[in-house]
Amino acid sequence: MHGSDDHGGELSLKQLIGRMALLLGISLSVGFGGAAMGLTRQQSAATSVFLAIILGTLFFWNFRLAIAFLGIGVLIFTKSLDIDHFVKEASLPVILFLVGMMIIVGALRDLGFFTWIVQSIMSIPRITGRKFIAVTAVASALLACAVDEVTSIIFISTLVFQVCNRLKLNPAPYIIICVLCTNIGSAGTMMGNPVGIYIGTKAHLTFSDFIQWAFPVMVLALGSCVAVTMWWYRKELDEFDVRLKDRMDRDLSLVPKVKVPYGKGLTVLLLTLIFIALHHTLEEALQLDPNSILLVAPLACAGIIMIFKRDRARHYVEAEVDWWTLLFFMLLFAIAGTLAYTGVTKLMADRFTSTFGTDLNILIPVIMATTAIGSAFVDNVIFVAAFAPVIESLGESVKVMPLWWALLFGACFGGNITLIGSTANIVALGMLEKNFKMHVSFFQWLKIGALSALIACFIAWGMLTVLSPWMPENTERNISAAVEAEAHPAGH
Amino acid sequence: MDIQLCDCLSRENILFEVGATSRDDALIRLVDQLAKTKDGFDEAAAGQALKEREAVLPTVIAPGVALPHARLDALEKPLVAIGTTRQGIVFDEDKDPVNLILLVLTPKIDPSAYLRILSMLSSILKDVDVPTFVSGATIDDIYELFKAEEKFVDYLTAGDVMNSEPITLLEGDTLNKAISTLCSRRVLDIPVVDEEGDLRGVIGMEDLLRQSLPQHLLWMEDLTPILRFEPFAEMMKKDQETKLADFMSEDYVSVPPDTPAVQLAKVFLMSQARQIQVLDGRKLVGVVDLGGFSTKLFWA
Repeated sequence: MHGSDDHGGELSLKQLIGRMALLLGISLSVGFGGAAMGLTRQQSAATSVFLAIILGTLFFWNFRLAIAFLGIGVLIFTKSLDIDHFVKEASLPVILFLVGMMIIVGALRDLGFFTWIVQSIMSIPRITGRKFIAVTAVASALLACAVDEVTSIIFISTLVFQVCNRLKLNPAPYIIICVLCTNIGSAGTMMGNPVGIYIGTKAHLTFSDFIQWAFPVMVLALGSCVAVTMWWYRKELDEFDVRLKDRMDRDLSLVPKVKVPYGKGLTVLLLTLIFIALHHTLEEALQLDPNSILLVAPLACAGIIMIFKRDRARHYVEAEVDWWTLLFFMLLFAIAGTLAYTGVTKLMADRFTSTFGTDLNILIPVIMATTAIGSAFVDNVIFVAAFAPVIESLGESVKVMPLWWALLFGACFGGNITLIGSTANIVALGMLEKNFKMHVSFFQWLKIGALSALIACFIAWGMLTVLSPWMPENTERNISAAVEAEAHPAGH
Repeated sequence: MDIQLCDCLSRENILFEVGATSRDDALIRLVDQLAKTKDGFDEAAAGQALKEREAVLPTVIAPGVALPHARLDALEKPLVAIGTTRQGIVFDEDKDPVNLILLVLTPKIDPSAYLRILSMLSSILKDVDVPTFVSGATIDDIYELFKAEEKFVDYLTAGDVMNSEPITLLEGDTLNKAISTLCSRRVLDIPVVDEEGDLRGVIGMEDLLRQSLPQHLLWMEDLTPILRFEPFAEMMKKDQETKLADFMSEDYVSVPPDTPAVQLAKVFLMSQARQIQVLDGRKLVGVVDLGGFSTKLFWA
């Protein structure tokens, strides 16, 4: 469904061997280098495999899963990971949460919910080019909050393509505006991006934590992103205005207007969102473990949907769920877990505090900048998976909640920097290439992408600095000691 | 199997002034002649197959030329018999009488044999005005004409099996014209070319539907809001001003003319295309339709 595997194209055998040699060379030399510098064998293996995964996604996007499978094999062989920890670190609840959401999205599509959104955007009265792009970009960001960024950009791109097709415009600038805003929007809730739910689980943040602390920051950053991208592409938007006005004057519509029965779709989505939003209240009332309802809510909703749509149930599970990506996430989480399990992240955290101290005013920008730059070049999930244990370790000495938000914003906003920075970028550009046979160059993207990410990160930095004194201390947050202990396994 | 025309055609199988009055009579005489010189084929079955084939669709391939043919089970190699008649025999009610009958029998297990022979015969007759030639020729002239052919067709190419005069539309033609052409000519795909004859795109029946039903309407499973084809109204309202260049599809499948014909079979299956464009550089030289290709290969 996500079609995110078009990136990278075909590799010749020579390129394949060359890149594989480079990958093995770098990861092995880091492994041996680490061992020489005093890491244990297990620690070296974990670091080396993790680095191989990072390089694997850079060099072989199309078969990153194969690299992850082999990586798990290496970790088991070198005794860096055992099966019990593999299963535990694979974060099955996060995976199942994503499975549930993907099934719900499939049902929403069938119910015409996304058609309704597109139609609603199109029936805005007295529409102009600027208004259309601004509304579309904001809608895309909010839709990303409600479902996920990849789904959102797929539907929004389709709309932009159709309109540009009718107006005979080059869709690339408008698509870029929408994708940049979608990436920003994905930081607003835990559904927006796989890193959101992963951080939520690791940090025991609730849905209302996200709404209270992350959402307002996202809204401000989104405002800045809409403004700066629309200023950047002002010439293209002028042209859009002219073409649109010309077409409207000739009384030709942009897309056929259809009254879509959106009730069912909207109900399904709202009920799911309410269920998720109430998770913390329900957990407290029923005395359940933190986030246990959050993680099963989408599954329960998907179950109800599959009972009502029995004939489509199998299709939802087989075709709407992006198993390829989810399997990759599972293995990735497990490999990142190995870093914590073997104590590598503890070493990193110590190094981190000895370099940057424990002052939040320094740690917030450092973490955000590191994550943003890292996420620009490798999958942000990889980066967050590696960083999460470091932040967990930091939590022993500093107030940790602002750092989790810094990690989230760095990972989501950093995706804007390059055209391979987030899955949404890759998917949207893949669609652009397929439908319009158009390429966006790396530097064409980098200029506006880096600018928008920089501004958004500055806003987030400022907001977090202002807000952090009001955020709860580690001890005030209602996390049981057992869960804490589980999150900090002792090194071997 | 290598085929050369001189191996299939012997001099005694040329019936100068075949002397028949009807199509079926002519076919029987030619088959009789072949049966005399060649053992081991079922004369009755051949006659029957030829007559049935002609009855379905007469094989008049050029003015004055008919090419009756049949595919037979128990045949080792192709056989050709030729009959001439100055007065002419009616093969097809709608066409001129036939002066030259080229009867071809091929083994059923070699589907391309007939096409290869057809290709050789066509190249021989390319510059010949058949009615004039037959009226002045002796049996030696006829034998020499076909015997002289040295061209050896090893395998068929896209150029051999393509339709070299396909229906085309221009980039600047309107949607209205595309609809009337697609529907009245009963074709599913039409290549769109520019003034120089270069291929620019293809317009297919689905493109008409796609123009009316944008992608986001396809996301709905419940189609009650559009049961009366409401979205189609807009397309029809401006069919006189929409140019093909605005909505033709640009992902067509194309091959150069020297592509082996068997490759086309693979392309049809792999690309799920119904029509393959044959391009010489950018220039459209012909099209191969799935229907026409399979018919020629298995039946025609």
